[in-house]
Amino acid sequence: METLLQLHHLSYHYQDGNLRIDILKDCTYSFEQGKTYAIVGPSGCGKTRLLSLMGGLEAPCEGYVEYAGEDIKKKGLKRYRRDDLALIFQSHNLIHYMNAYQNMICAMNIAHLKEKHKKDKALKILAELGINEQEAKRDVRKLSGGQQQRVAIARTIAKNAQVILADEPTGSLDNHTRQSIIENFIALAHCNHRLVIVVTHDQEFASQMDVCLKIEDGMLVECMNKA
Amino acid sequence: MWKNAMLSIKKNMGRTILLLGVAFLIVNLVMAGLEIKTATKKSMDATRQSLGSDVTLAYNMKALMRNRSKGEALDELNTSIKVSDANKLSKLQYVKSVNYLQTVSVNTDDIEPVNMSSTTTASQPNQSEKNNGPSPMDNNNFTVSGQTTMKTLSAFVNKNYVLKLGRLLNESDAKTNNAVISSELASDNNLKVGSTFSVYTTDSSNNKTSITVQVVGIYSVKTVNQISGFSNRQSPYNTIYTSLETAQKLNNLTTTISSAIYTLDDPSHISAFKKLAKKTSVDWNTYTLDANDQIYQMSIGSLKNMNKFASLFVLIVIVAGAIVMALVLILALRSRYYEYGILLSLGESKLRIIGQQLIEVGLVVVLAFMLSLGSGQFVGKKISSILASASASSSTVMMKMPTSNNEQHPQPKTKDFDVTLSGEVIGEVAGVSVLIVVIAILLPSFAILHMSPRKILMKKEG
Repeated sequence: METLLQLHHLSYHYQDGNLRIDILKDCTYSFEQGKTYAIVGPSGCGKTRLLSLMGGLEAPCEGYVEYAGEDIKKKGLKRYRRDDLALIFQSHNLIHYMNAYQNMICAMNIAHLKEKHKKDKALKILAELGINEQEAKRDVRKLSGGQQQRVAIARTIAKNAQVILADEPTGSLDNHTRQSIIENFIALAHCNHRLVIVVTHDQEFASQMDVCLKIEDGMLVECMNKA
Repeated sequence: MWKNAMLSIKKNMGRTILLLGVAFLIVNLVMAGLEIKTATKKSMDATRQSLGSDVTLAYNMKALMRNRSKGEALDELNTSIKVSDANKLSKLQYVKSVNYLQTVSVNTDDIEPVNMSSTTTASQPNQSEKNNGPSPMDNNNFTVSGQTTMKTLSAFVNKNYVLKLGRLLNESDAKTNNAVISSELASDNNLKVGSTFSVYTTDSSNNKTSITVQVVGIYSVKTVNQISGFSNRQSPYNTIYTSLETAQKLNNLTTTISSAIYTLDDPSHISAFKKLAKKTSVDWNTYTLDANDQIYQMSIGSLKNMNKFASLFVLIVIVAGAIVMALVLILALRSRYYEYGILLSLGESKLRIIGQQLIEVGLVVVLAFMLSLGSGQFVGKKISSILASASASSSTVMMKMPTSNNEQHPQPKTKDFDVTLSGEVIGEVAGVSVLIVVIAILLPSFAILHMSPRKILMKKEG
């Protein structure tokens, strides 16, 4: 499997008065395309911080992130997020004054995708994820949590993002819906050859990912592998 | 960006209506203020136009009184203007025509004056004037008013005096002893066009200067400052209009005149002309230029106050309006962090996010502007009528100041205060609306621009 995302000696710290608080220390890891990764750890260990560094939302104190062999800072963080990355959060993933397919078209427009029939493509992807046309045209606030997360996933497919970073994507969902989302992520990696990295405190979720990593004393280490 | 802006406006109708209400109020008030400002300016310009474009060069009476010796009589003071000084101004830009004037009190044995009162008699002789030659003015019953031309005399231009018979004097009468007299003087003395009579002056050495004048025109006096209180020679009925040279001969001085009137090509050039005049070598401690400034300033007093108020009003509305809109937008912004976080995570630029804000607010303000085109004039008229009734009336000031040649000053004609929506005001309101939108967006935009995407996303998460 091809390495898609690499962390090179990534460190992050901040000052609390005279005290230096180290969040991440010298994190180095290679993430492969077509695999699912879970990053676990106790609250406050730096999981979300690591995700934001990998997503180009802020700059590390030391080290760098490489995507497809190129430093994301040199590529341009905004361009990296626009062309190659998709971020999924626990909630508030969708713009509420747009319906489901409009949210997807918005993402396609931002990514400058030259599609002639964006609406048809959006509806097709949504249908594949179990959102019918009627639901696709509904106000997104009227969709269930699971449906909203599926729309967020559909958006990542529509914009052809190769890397999907998700922060507690199933935190507020019931078991059945959570499982269906997990299966969507797995399909994205194994069938669509995306790199999926999920930050979660849910052990059940983590156990279904290909690779489990944890943050221990600021360092990123593997906790378990799945064959 | 445009599609997203339209979707946002449609979905957030409550916020849109609130913003529309605020914008409508602001635009209306700005429009009203600018309408009043424009209307007051037009009225002031019209008042200035109605007062004509004459600028008079005369002796500076203030300086004269300052330099007067204690106990010195006013009629002994020299108030003549050198012709050479007057000529310097006649060559300046904007001057369309020039009229030099010389007045001298005279007497005659050939005709009787139109007596102003039954008790009017020659008073005791006074010491003769030092520079003006003729003997005691109080003994003289007539005034000879000599000028280059009578065409531009304001009394005739404003139709206070009207020519009844014959003609008025012009430049071609320069070397003649032609005269124009009042119809009362003519009928009292059986004079008609073609009649002649002699007038004379006597200097301090009792030397007599006599000139025979021929009547070429007779005028009637339609309006006069006052009937009683004049001496004979001060009365307009006893004024004899002649050429400048005739008056100078009677005055025994050809190098001086009483005053000069410069008629400009446009009343709006008065200030510019005065500036040019001040740059010449004329002694401005001795002379002064008057363009009916006192009448003009008194006429436009309340208009100036309204103009100042309107300017201040517009400024306050713009500043306050921008602040209010900015506050409304900042409050709206707090509920939109999540949206900015999503857009940033999708790779949208901060500038385009701000651009969408500009479009959203701009569309609302454009709609407010369109609606204000209908209501703005009504609001303007309402505010202006409140202001006009609160301040002094500008249309009742009429100054009638008799001068030494018995001419009346022109009366200002103030137009009805006309608050209308002109193209100029519409353009100014459009510009102000854009300014308010930009200021109102800048403050909240700074809140987005200075934060990192991560911080915005953290806010989004609550």
